[in-house]
Amino acid sequence: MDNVVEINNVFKSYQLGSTEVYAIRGLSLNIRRGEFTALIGASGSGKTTLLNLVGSLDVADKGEILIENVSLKNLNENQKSFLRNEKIGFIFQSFNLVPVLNVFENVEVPLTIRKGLKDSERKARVLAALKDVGLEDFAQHRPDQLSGGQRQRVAIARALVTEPVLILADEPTANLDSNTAHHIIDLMLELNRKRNTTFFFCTHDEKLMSRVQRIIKIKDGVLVD
Amino acid sequence: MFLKFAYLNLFRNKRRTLSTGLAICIGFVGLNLLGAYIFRVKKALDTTSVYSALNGHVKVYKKDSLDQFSLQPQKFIFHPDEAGKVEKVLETLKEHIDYVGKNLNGTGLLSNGTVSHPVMFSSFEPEVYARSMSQPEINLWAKDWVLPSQFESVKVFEKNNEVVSITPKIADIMSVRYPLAQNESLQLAGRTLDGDLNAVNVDLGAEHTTGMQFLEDTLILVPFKKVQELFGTEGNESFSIYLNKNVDIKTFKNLLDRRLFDAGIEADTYLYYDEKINSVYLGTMGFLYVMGAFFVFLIGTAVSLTIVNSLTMGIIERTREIGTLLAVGFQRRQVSRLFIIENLLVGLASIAVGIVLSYLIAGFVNNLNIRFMPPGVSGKIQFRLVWNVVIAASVGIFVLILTFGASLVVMKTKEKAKLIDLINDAGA
Repeated sequence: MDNVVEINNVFKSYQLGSTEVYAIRGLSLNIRRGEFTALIGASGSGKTTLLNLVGSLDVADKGEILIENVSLKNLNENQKSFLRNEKIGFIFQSFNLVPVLNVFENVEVPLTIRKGLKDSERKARVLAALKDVGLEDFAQHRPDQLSGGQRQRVAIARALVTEPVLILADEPTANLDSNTAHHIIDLMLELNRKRNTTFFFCTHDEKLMSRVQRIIKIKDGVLVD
Repeated sequence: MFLKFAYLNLFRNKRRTLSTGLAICIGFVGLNLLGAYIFRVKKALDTTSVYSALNGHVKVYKKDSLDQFSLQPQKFIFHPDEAGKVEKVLETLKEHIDYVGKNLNGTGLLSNGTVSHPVMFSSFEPEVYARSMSQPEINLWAKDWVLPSQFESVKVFEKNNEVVSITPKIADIMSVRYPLAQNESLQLAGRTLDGDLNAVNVDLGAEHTTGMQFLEDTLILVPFKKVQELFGTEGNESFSIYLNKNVDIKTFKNLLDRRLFDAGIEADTYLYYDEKINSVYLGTMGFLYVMGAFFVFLIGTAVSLTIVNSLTMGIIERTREIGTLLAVGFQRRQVSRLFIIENLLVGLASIAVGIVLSYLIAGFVNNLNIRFMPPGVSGKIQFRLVWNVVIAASVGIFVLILTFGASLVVMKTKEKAKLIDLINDAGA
């Protein structure tokens, strides 16, 4: 299997007052195509920072990150936007849905900026993504009319709709009860199998670990065995 | 989708959208009504300058006559042969010209045997006066800037070519009966162009207003032939050229200058609003334009600040959403475009409401028939607001540009925020 993500000796630090805090220290890691990988660790261990760096939402101080052999270092802001739209899907802990848009429109958002995509194809893709997450009957609902689990399904559909090679999920079940959390993980696993989409997500929910193909532990910004 | 998205966002914080819209709407209405007032004054001044004051759109004098005529009238008057040459030139431009009048102005003493009063007199040709007073512009723009009886004077001048027109103030000074008795004889004394004393008999029978306080006790209108008789000349001091509608007067003036030069005539031409022949026009409009610009600045600043404030608040509230949009692949300029479209939609809606509102306010104010006496003006005029589609469109475009500019400035400033801070809602 080829690598979707290559992380080579990456450092990232933040300035907290006059103190420089290292969130990631010389971390190297590969994620292979189709893998379902969980990144676990305590709060402040660097999970979210690593996900943000891979998703090009943040910039590494040192080292290199490649997505499908394209180094993020060499991309300008617009190229990164294009890369995120084409290759990466995001699932956020607090769903990050647009409240004024209905479910269909929320899922449609990343496709509205795609050039050369016909309306009919866009509509078909949105409907397919909604079907995959089991929300085809909720297309006209607004986010505030949905439960937490349903909202996260919408967020998953939004991440899927662009048919990305990689989906990054930051604590996707943190705001859900354990039953719903299991359903969401089931859904992600199913989509991983069905679409062969690579999932890289972070969690600190140990109960979910048994279901995950690959677990990576991080502590104080470095990987641990 | 962008448009729909932007439209839906307007309902996210209805109170703020409403307050922003209200500020834009009030700004638009204020500027539009200010424009309506300036437009009305300009039109009234245009009309009175061209038609009521019998200046025409363009005036032709012998070169340097404006400064020198009173000192050397024989030299600076158009003698009949010279006037003929000018008329030949004007004949070549007849497709632009509606009609032409001749003028001869001076000073003298008006006497009714009991009271003598020094006056300035301006000549008129009855047929030119009749045509000028029958122009629809007079009724449209300057009805309250002329006396109602001035329309009647036309018939009086037709019947009797010796009738002069005096102002009500001069009538008071000379203790003549009011309303003016027809055919009451007066004498107008003055100097001929050669410097000799002379006097002519004229009749009372018409009245007018100059519109200007400082001229109300001074200026009378005297038939052109009578002034020629008084001056002992067959010439004229100037020509007033009244142009057809839709003729560009500057272009005409340039053309006339060239034709006069080609014909070997040394002449000066002036547009009706030239400072040298109409300082009142220039002073009034200059004041109004400066005042207008000041208000445009004040209102524009207030509207811009409201938009900046509203947009900044909106961005702060929607920081995470902006981050999410960027995360799913939107470029920063696309997010900016979304916010700008939102404000332009508010702007457009506000302008639409403002158009109706300003139209209604203008109608309401006009119906109140508020009358006031501006400084230097001889009578009360109506505070009238002339709602005009061109002004409304211009102000609308200006307000939209303002909205766009203010939005762009805010978005350009906020575009510098780090994506990770936006996602984490750490402020824009």
